Amino acid sequence: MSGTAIELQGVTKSFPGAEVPAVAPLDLILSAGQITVLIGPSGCGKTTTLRMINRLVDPTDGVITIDGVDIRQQSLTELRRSIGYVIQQVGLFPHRTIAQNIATVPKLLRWDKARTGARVAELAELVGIDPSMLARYPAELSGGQQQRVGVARALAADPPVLLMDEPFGAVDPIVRAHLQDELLALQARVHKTIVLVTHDIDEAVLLGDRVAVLNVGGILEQVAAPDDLLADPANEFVASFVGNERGIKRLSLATVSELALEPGPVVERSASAHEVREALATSGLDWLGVTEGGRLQGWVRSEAIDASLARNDGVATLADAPLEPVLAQLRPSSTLRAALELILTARSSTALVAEADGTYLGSVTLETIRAGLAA
Amino acid sequence: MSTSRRVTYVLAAVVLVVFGVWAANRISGLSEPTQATNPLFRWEYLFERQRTPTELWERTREHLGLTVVPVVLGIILSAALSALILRFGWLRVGVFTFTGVLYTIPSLALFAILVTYNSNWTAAVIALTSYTLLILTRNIVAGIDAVPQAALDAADGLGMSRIQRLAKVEIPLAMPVILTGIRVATVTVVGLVGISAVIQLGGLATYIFDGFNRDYTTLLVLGTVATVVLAVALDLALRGVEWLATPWAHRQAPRQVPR
Repeated sequence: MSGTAIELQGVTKSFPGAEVPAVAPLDLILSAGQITVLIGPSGCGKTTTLRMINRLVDPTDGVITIDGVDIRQQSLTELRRSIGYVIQQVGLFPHRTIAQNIATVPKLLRWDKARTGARVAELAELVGIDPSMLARYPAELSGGQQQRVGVARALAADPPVLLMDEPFGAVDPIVRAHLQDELLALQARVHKTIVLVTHDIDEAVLLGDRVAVLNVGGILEQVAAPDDLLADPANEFVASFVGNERGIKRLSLATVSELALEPGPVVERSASAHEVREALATSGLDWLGVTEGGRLQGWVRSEAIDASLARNDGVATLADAPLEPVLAQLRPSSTLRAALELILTARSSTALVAEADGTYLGSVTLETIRAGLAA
Repeated sequence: MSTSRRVTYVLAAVVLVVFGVWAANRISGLSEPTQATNPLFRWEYLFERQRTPTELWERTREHLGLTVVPVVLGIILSAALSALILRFGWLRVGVFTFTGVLYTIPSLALFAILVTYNSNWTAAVIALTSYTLLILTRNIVAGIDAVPQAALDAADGLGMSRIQRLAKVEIPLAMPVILTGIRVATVTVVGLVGISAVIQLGGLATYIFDGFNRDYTTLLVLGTVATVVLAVALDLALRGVEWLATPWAHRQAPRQVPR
């Protein structure tokens, strides 16, 4: 994964006239190619910290390096042109068309027309802006579209680093959810080192590879992967900040692949009558999943099993039992939230997990999920 | 808008003056014999007198010259003053007070003083220019002040230098307000140029003074109507320039369609 790590060493910011510094000495490493979310209450200096990285704010003390190079070694404009910047109010230039807005940095870098034009078209496609919109002015676009253009503009010169200051704060919840998904899909393609400021813990947990929780005065309380943050808050402040639904929030983060799956109420089609009876008895359910060569084929009701066994004098097995299709099954990539949903709404408390090609992996119950979250 | 109101004021003032002159003559009874043979406007002066078209064009050109030169000078000076205000914030109050005082000096008095030390033309240009400074400086500064903070933040964050930000973002975004200022200043000067007729600089107001001196209402009406027509024409022309120069300012509002 290519990318550029950003390192903050003892970074401090005091504003003149303020008694306490806005940002206390802060040490933080923002990993290459990952999304690091800065989160905290008002006055925690998260935006100030972000703006120190592209020197819209100059630190009072401390050193910030990008890829090991002190950011003060570059000229101010050079540095900023090499860092993407997205803000909540988008800040598109109202007097320039969408294409001109996206081309802002390439133009500052004096790219030729052909290269700029090609890049604008490429970015429009990347962020999902219809080419017919390129000739319009920002006022003619909806808020969500404007924010997409803002992201395209920030990515125009392919900067390794992208700073996002509450990028989705000004759009309605439905559009926000869209944009968040799009950002994750985009990041999967471009692998930028992204620093994102938000005050919304759900957004932080959804988008962040790592989340840094800041307290008032720029004090770093904890920096961890979202799941770790929810599972194991470092202190009272972090625990209260992430809220009292940590278990439920984690359900959206962890996937079925992380669970220790149970073998489940599943038998091969060729299983003997004895094996089938035993499987039914062990599970205590009134149905069994049926596999063939390890692939999940469907499920069969216990009455059908009885009938089949009776028909074949207890000798043959499920060979002629009527299978019903498995309508709801989980994949390893399904979230625990989806697993829970399935368990709560299915006809039994057990959900089956299979690969996309049908290879059966195991089953999930409430107990499996509980154990997984506790682990 | 304030300009259309200004035009209305000019129109109303002109009508009042004409009516006043006519009524005064009428009431004093001094010119009763004349009145009988002297209607408010003699159309043959406009259509049958051979010299009228050339003369009218000549005076319009003089009037235009005395409008355009002060406005252009005013734009240059105001741009400089605005640059100073934007660079040194503490100058703001001083500059606005100074230009405000200039604006309130009675024009006739200012002409009288300036003519003592300058040629007539220079005096008129100085006086008229000084009247544009308040409007122009205020609008340039207000226009640049009103540029959205988010656009400035984005301009800085994307790596524009201070000069690039001014040239590519601030001035273009302030343009509608600046152009409105130029329009208001122009219309104002068209009205004020009239006074320059006192010091024999020509212009359409020459008709008004002639008409007044010779007790000939046709000239009064011609001078005033021509002045108003010129003001309205310039106003419309500058509105057109505004419209063409800022296509982004009058596109449709965003359509509220999600996605």
